[in-house]
Amino acid sequence: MKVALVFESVFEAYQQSIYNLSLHYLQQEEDASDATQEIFIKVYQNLHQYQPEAASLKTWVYRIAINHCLDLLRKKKTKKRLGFVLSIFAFQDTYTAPQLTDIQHPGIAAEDKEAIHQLLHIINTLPEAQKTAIILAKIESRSQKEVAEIMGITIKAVESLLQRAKTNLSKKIHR
Amino acid sequence: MPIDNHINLLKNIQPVDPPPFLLAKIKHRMANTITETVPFQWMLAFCIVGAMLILINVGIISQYNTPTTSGDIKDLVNNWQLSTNNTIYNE
Repeated sequence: MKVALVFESVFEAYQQSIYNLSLHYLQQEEDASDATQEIFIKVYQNLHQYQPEAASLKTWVYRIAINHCLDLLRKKKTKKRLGFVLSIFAFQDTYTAPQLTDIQHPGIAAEDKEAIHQLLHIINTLPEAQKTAIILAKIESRSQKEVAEIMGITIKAVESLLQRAKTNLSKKIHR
Repeated sequence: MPIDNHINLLKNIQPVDPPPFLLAKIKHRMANTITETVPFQWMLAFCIVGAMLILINVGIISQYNTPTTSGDIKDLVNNWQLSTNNTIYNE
């Protein structure tokens, strides 16, 4: 009973930020909604393992969310690689390569849509750590200290990740 | 356009509200997950049966794999009067 009450208060506190974080990673409303549900189920199942001295509750929930979203993206990638084989055997669950038009982010204003969709499309090609750093620091406007805490790395490492992400984005944009 | 200007566009992404009834959906999914979990007794029984199968297999394989001694082979050759050379026609 007590766990259920604690879980509800955690859900109330972080549902919006976790949904938005999932949306930034998955860029589809339905996927983000499903992912948010799965993330909070994981939070509920692991609530007894949370150690306040190791990380703040927010950091802990964020780490679960990021790992879950990255897992989903990895699965999608694997599915994409196997798409040809699956199509040969005419499996129903064949994967179609994501297009720019697949991005459905309700937080993007109509006038910025094209430019941001193109940018997100390029961000999707970055390595996981660089993508996470960009999402947390640039989309969510979190401080480098917060990003470092969530990612479990040093501030210097965050700076380096952001710098490498910028270099990679610049190369891909001006290609 | 410099890269920083591109990246600053990301700040225009506004936070959105999560879909309604999210907590109800989570509770529904959790209730379903709980009923789907395998009882401990079933898992224990499965493990015991699995271990027994493995032991039986190991026993059978080790029985069949006992090395035949050279003495056994000699007895067999003598009893069956088998030829131990390659001469077929006894010339």
